[in-house]
Amino acid sequence: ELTVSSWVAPSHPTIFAGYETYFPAVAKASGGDVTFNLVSGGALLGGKETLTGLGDGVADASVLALTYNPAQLPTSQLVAELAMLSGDSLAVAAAVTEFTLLNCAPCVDEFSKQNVVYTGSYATAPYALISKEDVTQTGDVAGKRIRSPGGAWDRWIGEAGATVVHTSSSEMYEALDKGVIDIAMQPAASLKTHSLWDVADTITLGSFGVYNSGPLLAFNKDAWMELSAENRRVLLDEMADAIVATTEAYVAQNEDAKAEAADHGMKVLDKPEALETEIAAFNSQDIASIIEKAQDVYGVENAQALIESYQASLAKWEEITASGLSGEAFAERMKTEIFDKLSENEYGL
Amino acid sequence: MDSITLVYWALGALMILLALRVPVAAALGLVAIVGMYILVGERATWGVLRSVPHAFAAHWSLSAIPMFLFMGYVCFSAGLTDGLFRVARAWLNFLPGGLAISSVGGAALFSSVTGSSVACAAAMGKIAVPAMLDRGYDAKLAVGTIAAAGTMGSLIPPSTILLLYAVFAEVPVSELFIGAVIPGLITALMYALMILMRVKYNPSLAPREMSVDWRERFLALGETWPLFLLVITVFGGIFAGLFSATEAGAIGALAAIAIGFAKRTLSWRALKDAAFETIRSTSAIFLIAVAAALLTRLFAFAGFPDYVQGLIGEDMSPLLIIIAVSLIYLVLGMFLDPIGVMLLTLPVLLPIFETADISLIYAGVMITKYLEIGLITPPVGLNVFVIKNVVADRVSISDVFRGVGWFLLADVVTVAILIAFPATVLWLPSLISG
Amino acid sequence: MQQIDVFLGRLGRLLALAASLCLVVMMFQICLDVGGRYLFGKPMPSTLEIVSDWWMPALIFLPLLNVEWRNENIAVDLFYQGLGPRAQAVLDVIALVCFGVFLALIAYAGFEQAMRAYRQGEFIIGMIPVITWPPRFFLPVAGFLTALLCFVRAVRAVGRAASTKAETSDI
Ligand code: NA
Ligand code: NA
Repeated sequence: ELTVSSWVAPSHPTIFAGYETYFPAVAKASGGDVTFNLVSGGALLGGKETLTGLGDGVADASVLALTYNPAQLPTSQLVAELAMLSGDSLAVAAAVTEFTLLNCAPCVDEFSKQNVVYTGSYATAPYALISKEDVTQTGDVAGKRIRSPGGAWDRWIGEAGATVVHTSSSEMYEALDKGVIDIAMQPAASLKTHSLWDVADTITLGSFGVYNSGPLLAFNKDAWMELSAENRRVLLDEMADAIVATTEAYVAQNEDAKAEAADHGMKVLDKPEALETEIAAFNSQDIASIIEKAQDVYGVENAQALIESYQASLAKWEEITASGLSGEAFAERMKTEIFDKLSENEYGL
Repeated sequence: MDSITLVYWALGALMILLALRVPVAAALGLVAIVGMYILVGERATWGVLRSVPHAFAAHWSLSAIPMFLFMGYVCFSAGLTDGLFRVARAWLNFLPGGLAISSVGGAALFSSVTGSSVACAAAMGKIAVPAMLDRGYDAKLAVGTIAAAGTMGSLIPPSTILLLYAVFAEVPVSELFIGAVIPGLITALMYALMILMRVKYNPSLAPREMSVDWRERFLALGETWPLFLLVITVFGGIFAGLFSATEAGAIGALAAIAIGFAKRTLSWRALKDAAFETIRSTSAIFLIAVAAALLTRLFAFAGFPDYVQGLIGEDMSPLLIIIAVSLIYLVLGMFLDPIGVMLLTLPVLLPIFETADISLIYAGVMITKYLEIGLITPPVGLNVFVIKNVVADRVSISDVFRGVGWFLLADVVTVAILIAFPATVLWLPSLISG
Repeated sequence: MQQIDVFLGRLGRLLALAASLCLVVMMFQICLDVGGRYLFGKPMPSTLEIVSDWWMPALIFLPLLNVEWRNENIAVDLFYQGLGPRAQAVLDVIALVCFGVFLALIAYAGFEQAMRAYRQGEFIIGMIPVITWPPRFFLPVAGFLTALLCFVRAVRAVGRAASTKAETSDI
């Protein structure tokens, strides 16, 4: 039995969709050899200390948020800086997973140095601006305080002349209510999950991209090595389904919240034209500053090649979703393109 | 030995260590460490020890506590609180135990601006307890009043605990907040009634005040206007949405320093002492909280959530579930920190509530009330420790626990009312949710 | 023993002074943050991160030595007051050893974690990058010194227990 730690509530898509898919599937495929005991809600490890705690063996597996650990995972969390490139959740999840597992040797090494084995990332629904006042162009956020999860969004906020605030998502409600922040950068789903529609008046949907820095279930390396090769194969084989289930649950939650938003007095601004143009302009010149930041702040070399490799993956998977692939078929595609290329006798050992 | 038996052994060992007068932090911490070592081995235990203490301390959400402590100590050192009991005496002289009752009122007011019970007890403790002791109030009544009244901090909105619950249970915070208002007021009312009755039957508990004319009443007010100004500015700022609790504490402390220097009642030396006392209190209280957080990890490793699930039968009626939950929380609240208890239990309790068709708003308010009671139950009661810490040697810790006893009784009545009449929780939210 | 105690007392006051300064700086920083936000539309950069990762650990851990030196750690005195001097001395030994062991354990674990963070150059990114490894040393430093104080005092309490025994046997 593997102890799984997560600092989020059971109502979070990683748990009710991702783990609910993954745990029974693994138990079944391994013939009951591998089962899981989930300790959720941060009763074991909080977000910030999860990476080191997982490496130390406090838990055998856990969800991660790379943005908490830029010093330990400088290369892997580069994708956070590229979050605004795409709002196609499934394609992003697949691209980040493929990039990290197959095309970024330093990423896998970084995890290994932390005594952790990476096995794939989910992606959230597209981020939006949740605020008291309308936002139709970049100028509207100048001088405002914006809660952001980090990465690319911090740079956009800075460029827009606004201020970044990093509060935890459980403090957003009070922060917005008390005016500690003016805008929460969050998927529309949080209108409902965090009751933000009680304290905000407007939501601006835009091409802000999705959060892509969440390994769905990373393993402690010792625990990973102790498993038999067959069981490691099972863990890898079943991962794609869980990633797709999590990501699709995020998107579904988001659609629900968007549909109900008006009933709660929210004004929904869907991709205001001026803002979209400005975001596109930002994205086109942003790559240069990412490469600079990667070198200066994170100390990552050959950032350009890595970024190009990620962009290639992203383009490939965007084409696949554009062809109408989703759900099980998409997971099957992820499995053949990514997980089948990993050897249970080599990977993570 | 199965893991739950181990937990019971651990709690037994904890009681023995505490009875031997081992510092609370050490008793909690050692029991947690040994328990984890037996249960999950050296590697995982060491992992917990590496990360938990620092991670627990390095948190923005707890930063309001030292700021409000500092504000309280500065107000006290600068003599801003001196006039306070003259005012209470002048205005509440018709009530037996007027100062204690007005402290409950003050704490309720304070609760409506801070989200933390510990911060509430800390700030009120430094202001109100010395005032009552100097006035000749029974020491146990004085300290019990503030330790208990402080528990309204997380019940009366805003409240960190209710916020966390809302996120976990996915219920609207606004409905939860408004649902806790009447239970908060009932709590205050019960405390006040209890004080009133006790003082009526035993007048030696609180000195009766002379009759005062209206001129003197306003005169007394005049003397304390700086404090009132401070309170209005700080709390008004939070109400108006200008700043958060931590920010209010910081601004309040700075303003108190400025007023103290302007009135020439605060010296550099006194300010230095206030700062020293603030950090010493912060350190002593947080070390216990850190150790309690370690014990929570032991409970998590031991699979305590599953055990709780087993305790609550599948075919229990909603009433029985609420009562069973109250007992579980009473026991857990004796030893663990409130937020830890909630993180530990909600994942299993929420589905139970949903199956039994118990309103999640109602359950949230009840759980918060139970967690608050845990802050004053022996042997580990954070609010009791806070009060003990701010009054230093004037009262012993067992006296604080004894003083709290009567208030626990009042809480039993409050909980009975909330269980008998769920409308006390659900009526206000029903008005806003339509 | 006595000299070590006095020395640790001075050191503890110094650490407490450092923590007090952190408290005052924290207060000013938060006030400037609020002031800057409303008056100039420019808050202090990364206030939240600096308060959480620097000032909070400083306030909580640096005063440990001073608190213990003044015997201000919270314990529940159920029977203690009613006991004779020798039994009190025995309980003091137990309490001091327990506290010392607990602190030594979390200090050593914290030290390992701090060294790891130092080697990795741990930082977080907010409005500005904030280095976060140095405050991880607050717990190990104050924790070790406090554990040392506990052990020194435990030894003296053992002496007290032995000497009270001698006195009582004289009578
Ligand atoms: Na409150
Ligand atoms: Na308790």
